Amino acid sequence: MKVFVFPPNSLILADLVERFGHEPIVIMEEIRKKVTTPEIDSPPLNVSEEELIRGLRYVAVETPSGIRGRMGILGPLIDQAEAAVIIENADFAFGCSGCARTNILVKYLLGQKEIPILKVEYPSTVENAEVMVRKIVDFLKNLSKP
Amino acid sequence: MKETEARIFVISPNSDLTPPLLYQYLISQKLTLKMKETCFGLIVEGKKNAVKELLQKIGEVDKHHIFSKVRAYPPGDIRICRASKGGGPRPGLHFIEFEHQLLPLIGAALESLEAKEKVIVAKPPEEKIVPIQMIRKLIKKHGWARRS
Repeated sequence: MKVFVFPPNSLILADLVERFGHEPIVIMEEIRKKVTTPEIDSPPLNVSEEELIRGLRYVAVETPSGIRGRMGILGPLIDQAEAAVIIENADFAFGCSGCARTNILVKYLLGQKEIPILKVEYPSTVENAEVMVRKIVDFLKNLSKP
Repeated sequence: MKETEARIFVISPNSDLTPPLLYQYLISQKLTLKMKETCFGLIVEGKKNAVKELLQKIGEVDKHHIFSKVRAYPPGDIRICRASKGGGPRPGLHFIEFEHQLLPLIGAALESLEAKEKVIVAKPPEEKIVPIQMIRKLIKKHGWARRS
């Protein structure tokens, strides 16, 4: 089953989802397609016109181009998602290359999709980590196998 | 390029392994992969089958303390390589650094989860009725006789 992870580049979530037999949907796969395809638009951190047009499927035209460009990449991933695991206190999802509004929109779109969603928090102690991992494992085991 | 995959392997700080040790071990396995040793683990690129095989081998070495995810850029890509960009952290390093600190907690949680699943509650032996033939045999064997 295809499981969307948020933050979409999370090492811990991507690893856990894969470890327990599902396919994580991560942003790196999409970026890889861009950076390994020899095109004029292949330079790394640029979005092309195509992404901006694709982004219009998810946001209005007056939305800042940053959100539209990000949604051009993240939107199709959300469309593929059959389940999602979200980390609530992921401050690092809003960093130099992150976008708080995109994060809100991604969570909103996932909620609209009516798919099974698990919300957890980054652990600070061993006990918290056990609870988090146990929740994720139970959630993934209860999803039907791909 | 579609058949190839790049992966980043991050070793938990509390693991007994170090990136050079893991690198040397994987070199000895003679897999056809492009590998680069980094400060937190390895970056690997190769055909998907070879990467899958590598994942299995790494799982045999230390499955609770080595974590992996797909990486977008090939190892040593000049567009993000620090050597060609004049130093400084590469994009995405801060997030990996943050999650790297949490890996010992996740590893410990995975270990305890596995330990709990392995505990098997021993069933008490079922009570069986001793057949009459066995009782007769025992009586004959030990010479027990009915007192008259």
